[in-house]
Amino acid sequence: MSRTRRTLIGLLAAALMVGAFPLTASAQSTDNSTTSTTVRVSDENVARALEAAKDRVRTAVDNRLGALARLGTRVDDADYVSGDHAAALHAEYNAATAVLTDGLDSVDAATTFEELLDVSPAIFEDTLVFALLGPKTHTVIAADTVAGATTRFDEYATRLQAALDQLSASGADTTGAQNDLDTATGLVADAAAAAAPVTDSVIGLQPGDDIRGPLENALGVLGTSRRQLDDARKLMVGVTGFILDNIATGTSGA
Amino acid sequence: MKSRTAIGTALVGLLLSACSPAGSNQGTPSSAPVPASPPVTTSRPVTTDEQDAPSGESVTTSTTAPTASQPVAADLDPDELTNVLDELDRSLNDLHQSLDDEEGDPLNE
Repeated sequence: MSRTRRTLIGLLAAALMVGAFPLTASAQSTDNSTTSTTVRVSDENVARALEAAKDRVRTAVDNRLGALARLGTRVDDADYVSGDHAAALHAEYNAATAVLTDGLDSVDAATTFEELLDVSPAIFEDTLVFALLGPKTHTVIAADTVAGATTRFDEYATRLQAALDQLSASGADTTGAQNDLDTATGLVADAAAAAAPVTDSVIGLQPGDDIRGPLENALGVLGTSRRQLDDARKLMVGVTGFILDNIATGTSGA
Repeated sequence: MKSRTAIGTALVGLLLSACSPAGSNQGTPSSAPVPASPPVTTSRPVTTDEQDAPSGESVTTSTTAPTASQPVAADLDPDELTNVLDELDRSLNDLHQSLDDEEGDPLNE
């Protein structure tokens, strides 16, 4: 039995118990059995419990539709997501929105718990907004941001190299700064290489796949890339200071 | 006298050209530090007004050329690296949060 089905059945049982509380209490006074199967529930309480359960499903659907809208905005606002990746993600949001919206119609039409259980799990299992689309979106954004960051770092390193070459030509000892810059560019290259396959490893994930493992692995890889880039940044800040100090003083040595 | 005038004209021309390096250092403060540079030495043909000057006379000034290093200094701001890392941190935090959200969702999948 799926987690969604178990969760829904639990919710429906809870709704029934709440709606039928007076009858349950009466039953307990004469019979210690408190299981829901022994409780006689009036038609009115069943209808009330069914409506409460449907409201719970509607709320869950609305939460997911809101989450999909926020994911779309996040992708659009991201600085470094590629056009292809953004298009692929938006296509998934649109498909999930259609499933959820159609599911709401089925929920509204359900007249029994059995009918509600027939339609509700599929709504969530076919979309996996929180379990898959959310983490997938943020993984793609982070991986593309690493790619964008490495481009920025490489451009900055090129400028640092030009400045070091200039200082060296004027007689400055740039050995230490050059070593730091070489180390930094190596870290940037490592970060880029590690993050490069991440998007492809998650963007095709679908409900039914093993999703948790790849997503958590992506988080680990991207976290390592982030630390490498930060180490590179610190080295480049040092090289920048060396260059600016030498320009300011016009001296020729480190 | 003509020679001094010609040299003066040449100096003004050199200074003007040195101060306008094709717009490459626009936005650089005039007080921006520059590294020690060798003096600029320029030779130019002598005009008919400069007959008194020796042919091929070199005009040497102590003007420091700002074109080479000032743009480099202006382009070196590591804040741009910090900014892109901030953006990366935001997306990683979102990813971490989204993995946690799924665990805590009351109607999880």
